[in-house]
Amino acid sequence: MTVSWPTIEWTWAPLVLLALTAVGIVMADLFMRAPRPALWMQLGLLGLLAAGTAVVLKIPDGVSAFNQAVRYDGLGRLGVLVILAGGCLIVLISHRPVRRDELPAAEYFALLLLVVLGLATLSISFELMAIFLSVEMVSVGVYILAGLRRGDTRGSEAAMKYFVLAAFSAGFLVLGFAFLYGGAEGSTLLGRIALAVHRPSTPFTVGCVLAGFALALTGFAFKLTLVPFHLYAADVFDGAPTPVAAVLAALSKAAGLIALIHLLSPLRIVSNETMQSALTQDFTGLLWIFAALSIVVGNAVALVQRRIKRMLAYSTIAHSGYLLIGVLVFLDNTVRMAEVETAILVYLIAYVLMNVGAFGVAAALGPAGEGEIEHYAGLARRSPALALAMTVALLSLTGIPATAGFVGKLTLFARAVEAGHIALVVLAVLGSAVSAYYYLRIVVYMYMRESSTETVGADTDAAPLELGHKIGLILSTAATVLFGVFPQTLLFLLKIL
Amino acid sequence: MSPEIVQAVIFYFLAAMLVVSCAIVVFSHSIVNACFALLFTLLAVAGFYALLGADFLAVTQVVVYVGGILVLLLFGILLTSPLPIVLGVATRRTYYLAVAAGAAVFAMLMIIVRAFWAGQPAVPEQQSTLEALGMLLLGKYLFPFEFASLTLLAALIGAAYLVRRNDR
Repeated sequence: MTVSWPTIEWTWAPLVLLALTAVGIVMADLFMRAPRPALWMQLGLLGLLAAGTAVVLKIPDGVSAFNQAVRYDGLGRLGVLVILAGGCLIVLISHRPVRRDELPAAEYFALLLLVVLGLATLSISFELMAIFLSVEMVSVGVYILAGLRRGDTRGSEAAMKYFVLAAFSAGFLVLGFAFLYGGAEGSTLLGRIALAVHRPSTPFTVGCVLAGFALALTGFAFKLTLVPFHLYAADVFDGAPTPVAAVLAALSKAAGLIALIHLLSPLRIVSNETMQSALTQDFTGLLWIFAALSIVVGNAVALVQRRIKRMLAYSTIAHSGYLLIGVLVFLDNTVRMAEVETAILVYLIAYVLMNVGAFGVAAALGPAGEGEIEHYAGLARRSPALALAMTVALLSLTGIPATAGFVGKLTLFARAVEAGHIALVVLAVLGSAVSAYYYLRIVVYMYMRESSTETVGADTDAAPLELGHKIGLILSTAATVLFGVFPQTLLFLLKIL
Repeated sequence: MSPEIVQAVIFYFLAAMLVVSCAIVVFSHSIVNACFALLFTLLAVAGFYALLGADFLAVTQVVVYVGGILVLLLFGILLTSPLPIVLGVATRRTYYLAVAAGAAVFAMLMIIVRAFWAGQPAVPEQQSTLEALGMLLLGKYLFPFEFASLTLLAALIGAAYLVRRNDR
């Protein structure tokens, strides 16, 4: 047997570019006398854009690499682009928090890039070890990013909680993967696991596959903050620096969802094989319960939150429930695969944009704006532009027409109705109606309440907003409106990229 | 002496070392003594691996557990307690529970061995596992291997920042 060194290919390029940029930032920081946050931000952006360009220009649909460990399938490839674009926006909305809180800029942007690298890899991994390692890369990066404000007790609490629970859920994930490895008779490739599902050789295999999928699903439920594995979300979002919360809210869910779909793809019904359809029925039931609980609990608990980031945390839990409907539709073969994938991608893009918008405004407002909702009273008078950006993000999160959020919900729920998940769609629509109360409450505060004297005093938005932060907010808000008013542009983009 | 007898002698020596040191870990009232006894437990396990021809696993066991985990434990004791720690005395009930748990694990392992590896020789053919491992790590599993190093890099950057003093 000879070692065959893989030739240098473009399939590596995006991942290598991100890793090199991250390492380059940390190395270059050693030679700087003064902190250079703006420079590291620009370098980070450059790395993300270069990686995105490499994907768009050089990696066609369906290419695989590293002995099938990585495959740029339709969903994964566009998922990588969504994550890279979202990464760019989050780097931009980090501008003010990094400067104001004097976060260590080089470490911050390097770790942020490594987290994005982990997420990008997660959405194209077709091998158990690669999936596990990319999940770990994200977790390790986020523990540190969450605790980056060392004196801050909320930040330390967030980092510690995330550390303990992510380690715990990683245990579930890796145990599930061990069972799947056993079920696939010693292969870590998802393709081989699919074979084990379709043609199980022994009852032992059946048991392994069942236990494996159940445990792996539990691990993913933690990552996607599905009820009842959601309890850490509010504390972590509230304590972590706001752009890091945005990474967790938007990007990590997008990547986690795509990975979950890849992992469960062996269960997508292709024929009436008994073993497979029995398994699929079990897991459809399980996913149904997860989705329904997340929608109900997420929306209900969000109603009573008094701090903005805790409210957004529960809103993302509800959105995870909506997204899970997409997974359910995917498992059903009555809807064409390409249509399901488009619906999921449209929802994910809208979801990333509106979350970046909401968290970006909170980050721009400083500690007061990241805290109590009362602080938003009268914001429209104090800073009309920020109030407008927040309004667009919140309307989109509610799913009001002429915003991207509406288009996302419409396409996803339409597919779900086609697949016959009517009860769940009714639940989701009712949930969205409830969510209007807690989203629009902030809009009411911003436009119809007078700011009290102490909120004006607590404002840190007296200084003009940094250029990067402005660009990030303008891009996310404009895209939310553009994709909402002209959904064809989004479909066109998905087609040409 | 034939190789079988030598192997048997080594096996029983290691087994005795394992049982005795385990007993000390469990029954010792001083946490430092328990820690040092654990050293011999872990070394005995490494010896078993070597005896079974898993040379890489044996070395890893020594490096990771003896070199890393055990030192970490001792550091933990050193840093947390100015006084010698006296461990709580176990009650009769805990002993019963421990014996029951041990018996259950033993039974489970016996069932697994009987069910899956009944006809197979206890010691496989001796050959170095290093070459095969190297081939797998840099061939079939190159991607996870490289990615693991990046994950460690992220952990390293974070650790270096979190323990740095605030004077910068």
